[in-house]
Amino acid sequence: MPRYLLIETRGPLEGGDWAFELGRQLKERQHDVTIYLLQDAVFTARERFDEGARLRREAEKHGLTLLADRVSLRQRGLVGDRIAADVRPSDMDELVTLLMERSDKAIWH
Amino acid sequence: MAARKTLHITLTAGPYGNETPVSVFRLVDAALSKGYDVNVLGYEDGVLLTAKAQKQHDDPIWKDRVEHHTDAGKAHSTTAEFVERLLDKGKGEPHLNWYV
Repeated sequence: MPRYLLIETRGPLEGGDWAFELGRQLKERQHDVTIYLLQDAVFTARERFDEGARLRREAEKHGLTLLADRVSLRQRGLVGDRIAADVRPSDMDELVTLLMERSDKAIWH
Repeated sequence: MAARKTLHITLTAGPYGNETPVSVFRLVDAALSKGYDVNVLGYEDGVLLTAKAQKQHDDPIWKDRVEHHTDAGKAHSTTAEFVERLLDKGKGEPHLNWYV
């Protein structure tokens, strides 16, 4: 089962649903998918944001793992309970591990 | 002993247009810290990241605050300077190659 790492950089209203749509299709083909939210894509992790909530529900429905870059979150004032509970804050250290040890294919969008 | 793995990155984003170069700098820094070799290919606008013609500049918002001026070392680093620091970090092993 190939493991895909999708690095999404675009906000939910700027094409950031791309990784979620691709992730859904990959999961339907039995692939393992992790989405790493980076830059404006971390707005998907914002607790009070309808479009972000919709994408998170999609991720949960299809079994996509969601991580969000801690620096990108902090740069946008997304800290503490402003971050949705179904997204796990992460960092470059883990992204490197995902890229080098825990994925077969990585796509940056 | 297993050979060291290498992270290969092709970068098309130029300086100051969006966040991507900074994200890649952070990624390269983390990869070197974790012991991976890194190859970066600057491509399209990405070749400008290492242009030496860039100059540090002060933040005009702080023109009246001398501590924020270039001479005080508080000005913004250029992307070429960021790459230079990464190349210094990756001059041994693990190693960084930066191609344009």
